Amino acid sequence: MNDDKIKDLFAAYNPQLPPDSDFMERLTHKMQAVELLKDKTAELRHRNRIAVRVAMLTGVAVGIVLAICFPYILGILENITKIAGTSVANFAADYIDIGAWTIIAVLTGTMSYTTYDLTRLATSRMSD
Amino acid sequence: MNKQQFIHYVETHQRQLRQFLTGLCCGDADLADDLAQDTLVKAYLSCESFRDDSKFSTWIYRIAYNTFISHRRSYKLTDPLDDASEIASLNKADGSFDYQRLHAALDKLSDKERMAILLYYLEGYPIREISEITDTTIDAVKAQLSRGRKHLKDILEEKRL
Repeated sequence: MNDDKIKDLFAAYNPQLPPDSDFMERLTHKMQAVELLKDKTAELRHRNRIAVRVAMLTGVAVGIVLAICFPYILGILENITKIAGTSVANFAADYIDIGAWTIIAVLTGTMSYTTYDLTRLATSRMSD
Repeated sequence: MNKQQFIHYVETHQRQLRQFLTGLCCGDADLADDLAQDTLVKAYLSCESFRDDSKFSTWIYRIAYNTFISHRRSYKLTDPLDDASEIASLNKADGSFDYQRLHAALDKLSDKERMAILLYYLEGYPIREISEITDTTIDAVKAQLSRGRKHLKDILEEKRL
């Protein structure tokens, strides 16, 4: 068997395949499913971006407001430590600033996260 | 390439791709169709990022090759000669058994030899493009073709005796 015979063998190669229409129908369904998934993913990404932006703005706003209120927060903490007793007040005196800023950070973070969650919920309800 | 162009290409060339994969799967047309579906879906996902510096058909066949190799790794196809004959006899697509000998002979080749033989003789790709499709050197393709050709001749002549 020489090379030409191998060429002839494959030139005549035409196995019977399942119908083209069945193949194309299956493929079209898969491609439509892909498109649907891409649209959903793009929509989710868009909603997420909106939620992140709103959360960021909220965090900045709340952070600025609480920073302005820092003296008041400090005053509240000092009153609490005085009520707790002299030993507690003496211990807390060195750390009261850190405590105040920690409270501001926690409140800002919590507000940001809550806003993110609520925004995602609101945008998902709007799109449904 | 945009989606419309892709769909037009598929409608024109899907049969050729399926024939190629049927040869690669040694006559199992159902498996070949599954691999063709996976190949075309993968190509569809990235058709818009396709670069024009290589032929589109070369790109599709590269995806088909990688899909076939991934499938082989996932499912160990033993396919000894008897099994290949059984696949051919049960497969309605090959009811006339015309290609049973050829499929059984292709089954005896290694995946790389079979790939090289089919791309060269069935699809008519030059060696340079086969090396792009299989991501190997031109010398490696020549060696695979030479070995594959020799094995195929030996098997088909043996069966004739």
